[in-house]
Amino acid sequence: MTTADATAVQWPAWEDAAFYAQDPEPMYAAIAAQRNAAPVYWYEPPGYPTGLWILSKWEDQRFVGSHPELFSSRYGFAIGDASDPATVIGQLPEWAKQALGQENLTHAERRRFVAKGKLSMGDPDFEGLILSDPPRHGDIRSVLMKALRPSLVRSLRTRITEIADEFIARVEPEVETDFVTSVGQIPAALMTELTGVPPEMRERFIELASAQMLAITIDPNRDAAEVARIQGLVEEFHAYCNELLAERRASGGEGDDLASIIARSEFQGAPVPHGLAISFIHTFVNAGETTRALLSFVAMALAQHPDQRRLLVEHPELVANAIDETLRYYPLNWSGCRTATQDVEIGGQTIHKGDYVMMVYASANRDEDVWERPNEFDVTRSFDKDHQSFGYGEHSCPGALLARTDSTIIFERLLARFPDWDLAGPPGRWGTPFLQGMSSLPLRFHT
Amino acid sequence: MSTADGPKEFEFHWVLDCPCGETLTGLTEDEIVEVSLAHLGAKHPDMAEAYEREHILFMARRLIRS
Ligand code: HEM
Ligand SMILES: [Zn+2]
Repeated sequence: MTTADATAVQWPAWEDAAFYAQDPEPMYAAIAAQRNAAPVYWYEPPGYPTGLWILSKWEDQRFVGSHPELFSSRYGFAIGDASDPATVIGQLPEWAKQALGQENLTHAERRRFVAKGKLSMGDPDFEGLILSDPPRHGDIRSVLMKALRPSLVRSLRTRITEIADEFIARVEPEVETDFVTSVGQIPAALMTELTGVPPEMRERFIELASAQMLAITIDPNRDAAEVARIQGLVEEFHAYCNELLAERRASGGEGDDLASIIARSEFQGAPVPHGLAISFIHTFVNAGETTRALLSFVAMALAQHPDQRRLLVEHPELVANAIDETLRYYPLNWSGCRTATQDVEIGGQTIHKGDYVMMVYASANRDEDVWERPNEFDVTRSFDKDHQSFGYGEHSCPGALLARTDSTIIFERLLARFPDWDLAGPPGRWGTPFLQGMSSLPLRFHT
Repeated sequence: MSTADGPKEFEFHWVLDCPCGETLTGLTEDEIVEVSLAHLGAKHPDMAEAYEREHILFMARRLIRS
């Protein structure tokens, strides 16, 4: 017996926020231990009504992502959706409570009501991309992609640069600056402007969108006061979104902001149904929040690796590579889930119809079969294969182009103004079993 | 003006994630445009016309290859 006995590494408690809050090193060691010993693993989270399959390998996740006919998105997309409904019912709206009261529901049907319930903000007609399947999914997605078309994102480059410069000009060298609420605010400022939120309401909108990020993770361990706080903010957010959309519809939707584009778009030959349109507005405003999280991880990683930051100053054409390396190294979504539509074999295990399957993106991003030195952060890493941080396949992130464009421009501008920065205190990370982000990142910038 | 050359020490390629999930790559600008148009024509004939060279190059990322 040596002290390096590998059995000492405990496998992940995938449903537990505390697992993700620990230091990355032991967390990734636990993930790797399971990936190497049991790449397709049936896990039963304590307190859950049934187990789920954990897929740790990059290759297996690609397979699932490219077969939406075998792996449905209808019945939940995050691990918490599979919680015992009794433990999360207080976080759900009235219509979902009633739906969950029916007898003889399958586990999959229960997951759908929980997942849709938490996204719906009380509106039973709410319909999001993330819970739909082809062919309807494709029709919904094409409405969104018309609004976020590449030519629009491309035309935004000048405006993104202006906003970035405006925010960066307010950053003072040599004094402690919170990155999250300064430079990190740029994408949210851009998205509220693009969406068409009136200037006087933008700040409040951004605050509310932050709360929405928490609401999309259902967590049985959240205390009642926190649940009530989040619910209040989310309701206000939903009400503002409704108002904005109603106003655009009433005025004929002629503007070129995203809310107007959605108001005048068609879905299957008719105006976009309300439940769908509102999910698009949520998406636009939330886009600022996810991008804020990504920027914060880039800024932190570059503070921790000054040699790599200097390389970017000398070679700004590497910034795009650095953004993707940060996405690989610090995924915002730990994982994503699907439900098998029939029996399927993966890695020698039979996944049965109705089983819940979790693709651990954080694991695929460190898969030794795909990445050399997976635990090293390296902005010059070669990307012959893509990481899983935007998912893969028909549900892969439709905002990836916008997020990458924003981030690349912002870091090109920031590095040009401040070639040097360091941590002025410990970063404040927040995490749920589905998502992670940063609440604060104290930095000191140098010219 | 198509070139795969970056600064001497890095070799780049162009990578484009098609929204359908497929990842396309090309060593040069011309090659990624060609590969993408072929993919569009085969898999998304209804969209092929909407994408011109400049859109493809904007969507593509220039990343390091091994
Ligand atoms: C900045 C970093 C971002 C990251 C890391 C990210 C990550 C992801 C991931 C992993 C998925 C796939 C979920 C799954 O298949 O299980 C996804 C889906 C999605 N993302 Fe993003 N996202 C980001 C930014 C954005 C932005 C800027 C937008 C909108 C402008 C956006 C809108 C969406 C939507 C609507 C979906 C659902 C797509 C579908 O189901 O077809 N995201 N995102
Ligand atoms: Zn495609």
